[in-house]
Amino acid sequence: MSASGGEFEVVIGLEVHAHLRTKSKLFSPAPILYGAEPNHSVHPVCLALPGVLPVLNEHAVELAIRAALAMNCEVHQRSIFARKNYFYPDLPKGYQISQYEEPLATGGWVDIPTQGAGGAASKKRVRLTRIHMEEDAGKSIHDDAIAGADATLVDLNRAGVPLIEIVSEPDIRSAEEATDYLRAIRSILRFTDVSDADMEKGHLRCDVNVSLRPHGSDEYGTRTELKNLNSFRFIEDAVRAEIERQSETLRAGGAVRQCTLAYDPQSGRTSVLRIKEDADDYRYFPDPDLIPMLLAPEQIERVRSEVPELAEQRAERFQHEWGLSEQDAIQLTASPAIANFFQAAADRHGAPQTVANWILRDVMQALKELEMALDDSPFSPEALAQLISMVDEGKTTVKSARGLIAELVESGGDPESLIAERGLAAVSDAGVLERAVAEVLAENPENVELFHSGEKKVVNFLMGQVMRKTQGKADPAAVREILARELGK
Amino acid sequence: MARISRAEVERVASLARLSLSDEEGDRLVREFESFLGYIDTLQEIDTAGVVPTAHPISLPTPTRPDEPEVAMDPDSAVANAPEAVASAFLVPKVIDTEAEG
Repeated sequence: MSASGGEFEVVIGLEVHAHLRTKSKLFSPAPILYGAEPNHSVHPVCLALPGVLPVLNEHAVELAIRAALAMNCEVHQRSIFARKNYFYPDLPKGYQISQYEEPLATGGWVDIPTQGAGGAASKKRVRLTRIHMEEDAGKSIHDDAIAGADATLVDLNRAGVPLIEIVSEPDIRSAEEATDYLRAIRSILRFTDVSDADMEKGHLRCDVNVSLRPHGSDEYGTRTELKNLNSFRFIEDAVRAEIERQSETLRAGGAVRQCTLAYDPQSGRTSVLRIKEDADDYRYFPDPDLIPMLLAPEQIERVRSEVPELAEQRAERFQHEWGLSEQDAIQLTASPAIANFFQAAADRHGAPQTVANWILRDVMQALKELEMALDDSPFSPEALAQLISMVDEGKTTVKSARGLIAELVESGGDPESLIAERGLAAVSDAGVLERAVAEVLAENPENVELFHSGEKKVVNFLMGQVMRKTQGKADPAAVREILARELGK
Repeated sequence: MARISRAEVERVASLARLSLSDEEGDRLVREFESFLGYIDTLQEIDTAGVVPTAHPISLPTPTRPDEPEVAMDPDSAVANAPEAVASAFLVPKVIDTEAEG
């Protein structure tokens, strides 16, 4: 299946919904508890009981402004909350409070990586239409075993959780660009601490609009909307499948019908959920329960001055200030957790490239093997810096230190006492090392001869033999010195 | 000329999940006509340069701090529901699989 549309140009726009990281809901003081039993984190406002009124969560507003500024939007001093009217059991009011005519923010852009001329790394700018605030709906649970075949369970824990919806312009041209764009959005949301942006937990969801048109055309083709995609892989696969479906239709001389589609990962196909005979009619109108939201210019400027450094800026700083390669810098800014860990460890240790190597090689591998996230690990950056310093100072060997990383990642601990407890201190006792060197030289006369005939490289082999004899605990610098002295005799 | 058709009234009713008898439909067409006559009068006012009113009250936006309260008792949350299973509302199965976000 081709990623591009072949003879057609692919036109894609995304609507991304992200949960804001607040403790309480957008318009009610109900706590936000992920994974709670049904209706265990609700309040009369979430249930739309008679007489309740919404009161806006000021921190949600702050986070929404921060996200909009980090995505280069213009944040408006005045925005309006509107009612979006539709009927669904998990929407108890019969409307969702959203923003329509005057959203929080408009314009803006997000850069995504792309290949420029000759395959060089470059950036592509995806423009944003708008970012607005809204509340999430509850959840319908279709479980025949509990609800019976004719009923649905409704859980309103999620009802009222604050969201921002980020709407892009149709600037995306392939399935890969769609997921790159979503990754860029996720990175910004995480580095700004606006959202955990975890797709598996439903913090980040997206709808994808796809249409095709002949290359060179200025007009958009009829678009279809892929809904409820909850992983990067599904998004990429679903978009590819939909590009293929529309291409086949158009090649056969048919017309694409405007519709909403679901993607079935099992079959790898998209299927029509609903044909849009008419445009959606949500009968938006300003919510009379909510006064227009007025933001002081000073408030917007204060939030602007507090927007944290994003992944891209950090990666650039790591390259320019610390001399890291672009590739290392990008890997070390894959998440705020990694970037913060690296920065703290490098600050403490003083040699950023050395610390980067340890993180990218050993820490990452341990995390992967333990299926852990750095956030969940008790391993502190100070402990890593200390461990590396002990290697630098010859107090332990690289091999011993590497062997401890998985344990430190899993259960934390103090490197110095672990090394002492496990007998992993480097052997630098001259007597022990001289004995080991003498034995190795005696066991390998042919290599000693090679050395004297000019093959200086055999010294590495001899080093390895000495290290093996000492179970990797010998201080390599000391061994090298003794070897050089003995061979020079 | 009629400003609103019977079909439009029926469409609005179906969006609101209302089913109308013929008699109710006829009456609503007449009532909408009379509302729209009133709107016509308002339309005569020159509103060029007037910012549309989103709300009659002009106040700073009331907000609250992000401080969660204890959630309500789940049993009382579903107490008024016609049917519930454990702490979840039980509703007739939804055929349309569309969900909004």
